[in-house]
Amino acid sequence: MNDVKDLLELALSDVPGPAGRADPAADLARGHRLLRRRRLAGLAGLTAAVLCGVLVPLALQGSAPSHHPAPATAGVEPPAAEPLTVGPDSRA
Amino acid sequence: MPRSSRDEEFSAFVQTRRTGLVRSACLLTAGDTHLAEDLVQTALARLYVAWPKVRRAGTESAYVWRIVVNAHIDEVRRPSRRRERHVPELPEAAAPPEPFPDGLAGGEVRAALAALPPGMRAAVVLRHWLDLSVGETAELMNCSEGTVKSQTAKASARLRDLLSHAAVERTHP
Repeated sequence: MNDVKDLLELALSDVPGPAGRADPAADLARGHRLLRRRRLAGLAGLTAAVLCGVLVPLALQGSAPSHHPAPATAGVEPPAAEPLTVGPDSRA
Repeated sequence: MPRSSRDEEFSAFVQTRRTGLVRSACLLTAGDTHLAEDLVQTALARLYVAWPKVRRAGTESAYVWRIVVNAHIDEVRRPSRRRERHVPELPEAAAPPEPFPDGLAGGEVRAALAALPPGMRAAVVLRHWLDLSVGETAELMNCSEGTVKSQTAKASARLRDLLSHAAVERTHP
């Protein structure tokens, strides 16, 4: 185990390290940018979903063929059947 | 602009860890410092986005390493950026583990590391350089513990073979 670690240490021995102390400002700026992009993408996705939810039913409703018979509306009763009054017995 | 506590905490993390992260990422990239820097930049930007959740869980380092390892594997697999160096013929794995040859140069070790597939390299770096357990490495690499064990063992054996080969070539050119 240890010898592999020594080997890895050796691999880094002549690799130039980053100069000076790490400056987090650039990483912070990149983080801000990525966060803003993610939020914008989320907002765009939400907007698209809402628009789809509203516009698609509207478009479907608007493109429905007009020659279809209208569905029966509630509250309209069929004409009542006339009483049978024909025949000589019925007059009595 | 006033800095939020998220910015403060993230900056403190970057300040203390960044240099070590780039150095360790250099092992993954087999000495390619530019790629190592790119990987760490990507990982840190994504860490910032996930900071509140990751910070609460206390898994900042593991999160960064997961991104670095996966980004590196993706990068190496991308055909346009294939950077693996091929050796003419890989010798068979030696049965008993022998010590690594003496007098190796850093460049030889990096070349041997570069000849390993990225998954093997990641397993070696996580286990031997970062001293992570088999379980932690498996979780980070999103694979089974058995895979980590076999990858690490194969990588060590292959490194040993490649370096022995390099040492022989150096002494008998």
